[in-house]
Amino acid sequence: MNSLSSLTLNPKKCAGFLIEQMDGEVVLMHPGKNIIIHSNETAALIWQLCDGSKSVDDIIELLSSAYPDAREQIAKDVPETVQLLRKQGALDGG
Amino acid sequence: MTAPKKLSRRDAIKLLGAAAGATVLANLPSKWSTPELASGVLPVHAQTSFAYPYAFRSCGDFLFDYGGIALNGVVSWDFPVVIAPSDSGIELDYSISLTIASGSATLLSASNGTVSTIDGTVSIPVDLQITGFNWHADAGAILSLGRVLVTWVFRDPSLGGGNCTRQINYWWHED
Repeated sequence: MNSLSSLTLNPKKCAGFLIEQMDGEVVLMHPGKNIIIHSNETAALIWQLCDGSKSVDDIIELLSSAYPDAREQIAKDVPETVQLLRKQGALDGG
Repeated sequence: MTAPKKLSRRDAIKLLGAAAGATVLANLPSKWSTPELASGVLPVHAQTSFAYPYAFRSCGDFLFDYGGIALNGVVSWDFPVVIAPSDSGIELDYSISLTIASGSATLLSASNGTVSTIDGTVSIPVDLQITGFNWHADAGAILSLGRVLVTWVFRDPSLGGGNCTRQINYWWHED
């Protein structure tokens, strides 16, 4: 019996999103798709790093180098956030 | 894909600043905090600045994790789309693209077409034939993987702008 399951490709921001920052909160909006996503700065930073050229592991390593005290947390947060952003339509599969 | 390289903290912060964009994230967070996301849908009545009578409300959830069983190597997915207001007879053009990273697959459905909404919604079936298997003795060996992307636009551009896309990432393996 054969089955299908998921795969991971380099994440890439979906085109057409507008980004606004206000009072420590970041808002991603896509008027054509009728989507609005409220995020904090770290979630928005992850989204910004998804340019299609970096794998999830690359993003983890980059952020871990910048925030070495949170390496373990970043390794957990980045894949979860990428998956959520994909589910919300803000990222392509890459 | 190359292996991640070790960076000094200074170089990493420089790269982050360049990637984040000075105009938006003027100051990188001084320390890491748990990412937070909350999504919503722009209400139709808030779209007055766009001057379109219709808008895409949804074209389905992104299927990042897809599980299913193929019969004779053929899998089928439904790709629904919802517009607002929920009128009937609104023509939408769709296009389907198949990107294969390994193995082979054939799109059995037409790669583009036009359909009309009924009460604001319409759905198209997409059939994919996974072909060219090389069966492996090891269970779980990856045989084929790829991505199916469906893009919707209003056939009459004066009715609605932008597009709506839905993507399914799949891989095919032997259990």
